[in-house]
Formats: sequence, C-alpha cells, structure tokens
Amino acid sequence: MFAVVYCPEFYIQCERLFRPDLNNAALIIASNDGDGGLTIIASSVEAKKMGLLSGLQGTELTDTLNSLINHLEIKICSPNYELYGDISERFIKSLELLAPKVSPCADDKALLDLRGLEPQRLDSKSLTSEGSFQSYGRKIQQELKQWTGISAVIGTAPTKTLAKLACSAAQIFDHYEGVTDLSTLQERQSIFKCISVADINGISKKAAAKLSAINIHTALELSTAPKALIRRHSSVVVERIAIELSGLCCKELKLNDDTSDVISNSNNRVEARSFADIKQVLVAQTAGASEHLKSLSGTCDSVGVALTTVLLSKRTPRIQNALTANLGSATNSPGSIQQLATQLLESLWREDAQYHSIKLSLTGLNPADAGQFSLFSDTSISSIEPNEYSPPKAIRLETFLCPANHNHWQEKRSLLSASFTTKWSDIPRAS
Amino acid sequence: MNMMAARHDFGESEQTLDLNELCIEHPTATYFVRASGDSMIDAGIHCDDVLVVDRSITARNGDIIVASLDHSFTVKKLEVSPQLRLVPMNQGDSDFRPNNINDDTIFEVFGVVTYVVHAVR
Repeated sequence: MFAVVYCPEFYIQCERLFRPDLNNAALIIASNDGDGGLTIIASSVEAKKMGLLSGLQGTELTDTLNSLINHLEIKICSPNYELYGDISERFIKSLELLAPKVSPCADDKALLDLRGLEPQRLDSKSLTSEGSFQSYGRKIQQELKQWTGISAVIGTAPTKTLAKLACSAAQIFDHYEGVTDLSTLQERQSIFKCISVADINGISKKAAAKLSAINIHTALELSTAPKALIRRHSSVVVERIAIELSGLCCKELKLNDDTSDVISNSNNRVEARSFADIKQVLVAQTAGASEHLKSLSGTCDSVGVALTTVLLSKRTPRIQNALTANLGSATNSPGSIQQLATQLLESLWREDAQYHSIKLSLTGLNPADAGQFSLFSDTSISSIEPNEYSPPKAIRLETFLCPANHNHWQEKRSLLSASFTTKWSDIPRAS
Repeated sequence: MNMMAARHDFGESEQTLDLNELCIEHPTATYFVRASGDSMIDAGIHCDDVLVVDRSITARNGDIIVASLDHSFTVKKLEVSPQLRLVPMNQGDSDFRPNNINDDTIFEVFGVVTYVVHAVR
C-alpha cells in the first residue's frame, strides 16, 4: 500500500499560519528571481478568482494588479523560503512519525510506502479492516493539521500510480473531504470514469493522443483495455501504468517525479554569479553529497554537473548544459568527487552566460564492500523481501543561484514576511 | 581510579543537559511565541517572555493557550465550562476581562503553552 500526501497552496498556508489576519485575504506570493520579471509563484483561492493565477508575470501581471489594486484588498508577499523550508521539514518529520518510509517529492508532497503495515495494526481503534486505510488517511490528515497547522489531502491505494490518482481525487472531489482510499475496485471504478488519461501522472499529451486514437479516453478504459493492445499502440511505460491502475504493483515503473530511489535536495537558494562563487556552491554540494553517501555506506562511480541558464525572455527557453564523467573506480572519497566535479564545472562554464541553477549528481550507487546500504537496517521493514526494495540509485543536489542585487525589486523585499520560525527577533507575538 | 573509565562502565553515555530536551517534547509541533503586555502576569508570563507552544496537545480546561482571536494572536487561560472563554490572569488590572467564545466568534486555538522562558537579566 502507498499513500501520497499533498498540501494544496502550501506557500499560502505557510504565510497564513502566523498571520491569521490573512486567512480570507486575496494573497499572492510574487518573486523576482533575476529573470527580469515579477512572477506570481503562489496565489490564494480568493486571488485566483480575481485572475491572479500562478505563472502570471511581467507587464501582464502589473497591468492586472493595477486594474485591481485600487478597488480591492490584495496582499502581496515576497517568497519566504526560510519559512517554507522550516514548515516543510516539520511536515516531513511529522509524517515520519506516522509512516514507516517517507519519500519527500517536493516541499509540499510526500510518498509514503506503507508496505509491511497490516490494516489491523494501523489503528487499534479502527473497527473494521475494510476502510481502515481510509481511517489511517484521516488520522494522518488530522494529526498533520493539528501538529503543523497545515491542511493536506491524502490518497491511499495498492500502487503508486493509484495513490497519486487517489490524492488528486481527494483534492478535486469535495465529498472525500480530503482523504481518498482506492483499495477497493468499486471505489476505483467510480472515479476512473471521471478521469481522462491525460490527467494521469506519467502520461504525456502525446501518449494521451495515441490512446485516444484506439478509443481509450478515460482511466477506466485504460485499466480495462487488453494490455497487449496498449503495448502495441503506446509504450511500455503506459502499459505499466495501466497495470498499476488495475491494482498490481509494477516494480519497474519509474516516473519522473518518483524520487523514492533518489536522494535529492533542491531547497537551496544562494547568491552567486561569478565563477568563483558558483565553484564554492559546487564544493559545498560535493561535501553534502559525500556525507549522504557515507551515511548510506555506499560508493558512486560517476559524477555529473548540470548548469541551467536563466530565462532571458518568454521566447528564449532555459538552456541546460550537463557533463557526466566516471570516477575511475567506485569511491566515496569527498576529495575525488570534488576534484572531478570542479573539472566538469570548468569545462561547462561560459563567461557570457547567466546561470539559474547548478545541479550535482552522484550516480551508479552501490553498497560499499559488497555489503548492504545502511537504509536496510531499519527493523520496522525487516519483514519485507529485500528485492522488493530498490536501493537508492542517485544522489542529486540542486542549488538555485540568485543575482546579488535584486535591483528594482529591492524595495519590494520589504514585503517579505517575518522569519517566524527561524529568527528570535521575528517570532510571532501574542498579547 | 580512572574517573573516565568509571563513567563508561555504567553502559549509558550521559551527555550534557540540553534545554530542548526539557522543554520540547514534540519538535515538529512546537513553535515559539513572544508575550506582549501584562494580561497574564499572575501566571508568571511577562511582556517579552518566550512561550513554548505545543500544537500537538489538545487544550483542556485550565490550560494556558495561544489562540487567534479576531485575527490576532492572544495568550490566555482557557475555560471550557460553564462557558467557553479566554480568561486573563491579572487581578491587579480590572481592564482585562474574559472573552466569551460563541459560535460566531472568530477563534482558533494555536497551541498549548508548556513552558515560559523569562530573562532575569
């Protein structure tokens, strides 16, 4: 069994946690991260109703704001990543107290691996084994809300694909009140009819079009169509998704946002523009990644560095240049990793480019000394067959690079909400 | 006798005392709030004291809580019966009066105060 836990409007919820006066306000969080335009990165339901949607940027945004701001109360905040990061950590750590294996997918989303948990053991107060994952989901929702103040929606199901669908259903269909369990066939079929294949995680628009051509439009049709037909007209990935929709786990199914076998951290934002600064960032990344590797008792055999440029205009997409190289022999030596990484950076670096992010990857992970990765020593999952678990395949760290000066955005930084949980001078007051 | 060896013989390594261990039982649910004003002076809460607030504890009658009342945070004693209300604790100042909580009151409990940190210098 798997569960996907997602916090809708996470940044907005974080801003409201210590500002009860913003609870029903039209609130937008707007960022200027050096790309040359003010962009909405999050907006509350009230703001969305006014047309202030996520992604609105530049002159389009300022025009919309100017037309509204004289008449209505719109609150604008700068992104408070320190606050969001702290609350996100609480979100994940609270989940770790409630589930055996938690894989964060993003600041506001996590995948829970519940294999090994038997329904009767979930909640001693639960009356029946049927619907007990429903009550488990409800308990997680209530505990998260009480402990961290964040509202979440939860989907539980026998496969990862179904759990993601269940989570989406929990968000879309009000009658679920935020918790959907797709353990039973009836429950699955009742919502499959309403979900089009294009909305399923892992199925691209192109793949959806191909399925449409063979008369498969909804999740229901996909789950019941003969697998051979799907494989013939679509891809193996889509076939595996179809298998998962019918309730069977597909070990080989690996989707882009499936990070359970990748340890990654992309919460960092650093001011860096020059080669020297960015090299420092990379050195810090290699140190962090090597430490992760050591804590896993593992080695890696390749290092990759990727540099992504800033978005210069709507018409110029970001460009990513990446290089990967082998280390020569499997190692966990921080010195070797750092040396190779900096060589890759030197090869990639272009003086005339403005960089948006730098990503370090350590791949080809293996347990050191033909032993096991130390993750396996968790006794709560010792009853599971080892080959059901895929050991981590990569360690990825991404750091976002900001320009040192925010120029015309400088004055708007005063709209940064207080560091309510990370600075003593900023903690909320109660009278 | 070697004192270091003697300490290790007891099996458990004791580390130096940590205030976090004393005051924070549920780290992911614990937030710090600073008190303003004198409404709770009789409870030992002074202006600028730091309150350790635990959201995981369900508030009971008599608990000191931080709550949002009419969109701003307040720290008061919670009374549940005969009437749900927030009670100040400052007998010396009659300007502080209890706030009744009705169905239409904009009210939400934030958490229960477990410790108060008061600086004496």
